[in-house]
Amino acid sequence: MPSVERSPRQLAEFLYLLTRQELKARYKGRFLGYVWALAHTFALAFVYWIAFKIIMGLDVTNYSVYLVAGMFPWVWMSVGVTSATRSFVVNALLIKEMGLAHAILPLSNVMQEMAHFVLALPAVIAWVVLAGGYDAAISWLWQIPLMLVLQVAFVYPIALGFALANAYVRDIEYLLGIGFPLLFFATPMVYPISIVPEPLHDWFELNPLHALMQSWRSLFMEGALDPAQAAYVAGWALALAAVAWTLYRKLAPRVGEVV
Amino acid sequence: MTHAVVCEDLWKSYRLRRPVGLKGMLLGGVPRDTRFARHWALSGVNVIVTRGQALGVIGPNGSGKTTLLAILLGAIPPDRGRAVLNGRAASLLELGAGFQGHLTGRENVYLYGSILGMTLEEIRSRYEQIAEFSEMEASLDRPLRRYSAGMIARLRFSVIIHSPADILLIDEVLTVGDARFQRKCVDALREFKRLGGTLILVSHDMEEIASLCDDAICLDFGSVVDEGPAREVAARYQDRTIGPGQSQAQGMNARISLLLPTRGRPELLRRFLESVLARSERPELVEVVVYADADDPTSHGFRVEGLEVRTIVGPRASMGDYNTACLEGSHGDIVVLANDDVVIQTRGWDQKLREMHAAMQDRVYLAYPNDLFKGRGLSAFPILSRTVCRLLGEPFPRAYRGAFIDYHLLDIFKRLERRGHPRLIYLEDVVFEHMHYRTGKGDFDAIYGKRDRFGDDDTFLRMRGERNAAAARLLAAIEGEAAPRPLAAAAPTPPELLKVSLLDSELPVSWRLRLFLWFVARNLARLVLGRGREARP
Repeated sequence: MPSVERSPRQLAEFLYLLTRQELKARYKGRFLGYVWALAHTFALAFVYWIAFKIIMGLDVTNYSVYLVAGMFPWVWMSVGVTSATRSFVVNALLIKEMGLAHAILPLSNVMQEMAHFVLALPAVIAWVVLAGGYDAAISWLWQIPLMLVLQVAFVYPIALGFALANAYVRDIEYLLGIGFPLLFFATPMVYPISIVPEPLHDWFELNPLHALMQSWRSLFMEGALDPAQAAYVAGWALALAAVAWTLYRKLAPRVGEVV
Repeated sequence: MTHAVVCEDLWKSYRLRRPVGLKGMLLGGVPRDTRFARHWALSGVNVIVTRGQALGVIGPNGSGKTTLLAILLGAIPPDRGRAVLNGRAASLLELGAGFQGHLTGRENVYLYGSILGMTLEEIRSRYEQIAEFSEMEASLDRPLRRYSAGMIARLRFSVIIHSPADILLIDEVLTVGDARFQRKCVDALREFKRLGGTLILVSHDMEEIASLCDDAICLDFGSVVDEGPAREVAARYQDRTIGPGQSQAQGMNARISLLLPTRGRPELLRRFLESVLARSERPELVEVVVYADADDPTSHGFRVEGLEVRTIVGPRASMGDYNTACLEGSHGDIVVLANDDVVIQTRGWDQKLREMHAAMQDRVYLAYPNDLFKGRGLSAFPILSRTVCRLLGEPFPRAYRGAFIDYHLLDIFKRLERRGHPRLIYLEDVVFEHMHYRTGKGDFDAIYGKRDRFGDDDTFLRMRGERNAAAARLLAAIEGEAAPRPLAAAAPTPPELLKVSLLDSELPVSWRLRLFLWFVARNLARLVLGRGREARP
């Protein structure tokens, strides 16, 4: 029984204000705010480049572009889910005082990270074009927005599910802190899927995160996304949405008691 | 639909055990005995509020008020029953959610408005009014973390009163901000009501409840224990509870009632009243309740400019009757039993009493001033809180004809002391000079000499059981128990005197000795003076 009626438009405005507030907090008062946000991910990519390319001698064409094209969407996904997981607990006051155990809270976290990603896109594209020597494709104009929508559709149900679960069992957020690094190496991010040994190869292919990242990489490195991979991610997104919706219906009403 | 809020048969319980966490879940570590333990926050609460009305919700901490609001808000679901709000609701709870320190005042107004369900357009069109109401136009572009708590509270209230909500749920927030802004808030809420808005107000400020609300409910242990017109419910609640949890500030504003039985000594009475006025720091918070006999017109109708003096005229009766009549006619939070042959010598005596009263959180004490005569030894002029009077039932038993009321009270508190609660407070620097024999012994003898000198001894001995029960009630109040546990049962055998003094294990040993010696001395005196006056019933 929500006591505050919200029209879709009001919800959209609310989401906008919530997201903007967070972005402001991150960039305000820091002279190089934008640079810091980029530098972190580039530095990570650099470390992996040294480790795998220089030291281990991994043979992947345009390895630095391969890394950068995957790292940025990954950071969006993992940071978005991690911060969204805490969203109900962090906003406990809002929930208790306003009855606002709303699905919009974790969505706001996902959108914030998307905003960072979008802001970083020019740098990513510059890297792809200048360092990788790929040509910028006209199709990016519609394929990049499509990928953004696809990733939100895939990540948001996960974020919502974890946020609900974390309201009841606080350990979830710590579990994620361990889970994401493991998942990072279980997904072909710093190595190509082609070097995964045969018996495991098919299992790695099932990982929807691989499909999502592969879509981004083919977008940047081949000029167009892979329809099969994108469709596979969309299928997962639908299934996750169904799960998250069920969880939300069951768990959301009592969030006010447990946070 | 004229009902803005309807709650039917709301039940809500919380599990008492802590959240288990992942470890608990994996290891199945829920202790068996606590698995089903529940705390019933609400049990069968019905509330109906008509549109345009204000409902006050009062009750002690933990009585279910906040749970009720949370259910109305939809923040938590009830276990049973339903709550329906016909209209847009907005809430202002004491927690203080929705404001972000790193945003400016202006940005917070937008975010908070949006949380309340306002559209950007609505917020934009009301922004000027909100800023003006808050009286902080100049600082709204500063980040909120530079604001004081009072400023944030003002801004929050300003947003909420300008929101398009037609039901406001407000929990204990008008206490923030200065007095002038509080009045402004109260006026704004009245205007909100006048325009058809519905208000549910949780408050511990009975004045606020009485002045702002039409009806009120009082919750205790999750049930509605009282309901009706707000003013009446608030008054009844206040009568029932002056005690733990009440603020220090309230103690410092406590009213003092001086109870004063007098007879035939108008010049002493006048001198006493003048000393009360002259030495009081806040005479407006002092009242004197005089009891004068109907056949003693010289003592009737005394007036002292600047002091509230009320005279109760009645038949000749026992000292216990006089004191009790004065107590029943008094309204103060602190009750002082005085005599007409007293002169208050300490400037600011009333503030000293209030300080002591405020410091005693649970208001259980027996204080007494320095009478320059008996001093620390005897509480000749007992000072009690209204709470203690209520707990004692009959603090000045009518059975005492002339004496021993001081001993009676002292004895009760000695029992309490023995149980580990020293609540006897001797106020050495508050001087109530007792003129006693220096004020014309002739009068004294003529008036009081007729009464039986030893008549109250037996009463005192007889009332030991009452004193024990009274001490048990005080003990229960201090330790926060609902029902008093009886102290040790009275042993019926040895002679009354021994039983009450030396053998009474509920008393400190020194007090036992003193009582025993005192009574032995009195009995000797009784023998020596003869039995002539004794046998009056």
